[in-house]
Amino acid sequence: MIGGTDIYQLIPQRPPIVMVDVVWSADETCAETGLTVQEDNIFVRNGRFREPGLIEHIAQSAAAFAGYGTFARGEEPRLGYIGEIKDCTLSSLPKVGDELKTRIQLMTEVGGIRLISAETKVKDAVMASCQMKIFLKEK
Amino acid sequence: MRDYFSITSEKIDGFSGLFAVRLNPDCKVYEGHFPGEPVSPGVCNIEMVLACAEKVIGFPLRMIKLNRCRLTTLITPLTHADLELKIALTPKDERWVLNAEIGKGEENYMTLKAEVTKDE
Repeated sequence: MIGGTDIYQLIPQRPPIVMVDVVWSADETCAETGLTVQEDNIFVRNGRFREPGLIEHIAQSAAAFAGYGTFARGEEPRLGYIGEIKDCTLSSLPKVGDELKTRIQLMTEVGGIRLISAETKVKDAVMASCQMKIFLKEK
Repeated sequence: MRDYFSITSEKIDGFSGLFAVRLNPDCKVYEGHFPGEPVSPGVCNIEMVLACAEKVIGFPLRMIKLNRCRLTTLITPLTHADLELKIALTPKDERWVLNAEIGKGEENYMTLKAEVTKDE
């Protein structure tokens, strides 16, 4: 488990746009991450964590998953960019105080392009799911 | 994200709109995305599209589904400060289909297709 400011060893983002606060577990093909929605989160509006925030949480969960690998090799996290988001359902908007739990599954990785699928829940309720293509910048 | 962009001109015709926007390089988001290398976050561009779509349709929107969003070009507030947004909304059952593009002239940087409803 990696959390608190240690998360900065896994992702290149910094405040005010850090959208993942813990990696619960990670192996070669999947990871579980989390985020507790704070009131001052830049994507919170009227007490709800809005759609762009949910998508960014998933993207940064994927980044943290990739960063787990580079961290294990003693390297800095690589910059990553979203290339494509597909079939993203946004069933429910989390509230301030909700603890998001996200499962990231690596589907393919070819030449620095990662295709992942993700599902985000609060307790047993699904908030969002999608597929995402992420480009990792060469060092 | 407040202060992310400003609209420099808009042309709304029915449920379609054409917006000229300017990205703000002093937006706080760039302190963290990324330190020393400002890159416009894809999700902030999605947020910008939704804000313009709300201007076209006249009420706040809730995005239920993002069918597809392709981001083909790295946008930064320094290299791509001035952008053009095309918005088109089409009613479908009790929702609206939103088709949007961000680009400049002949160049296309992002395309998006989503389903939206009125935000309660």
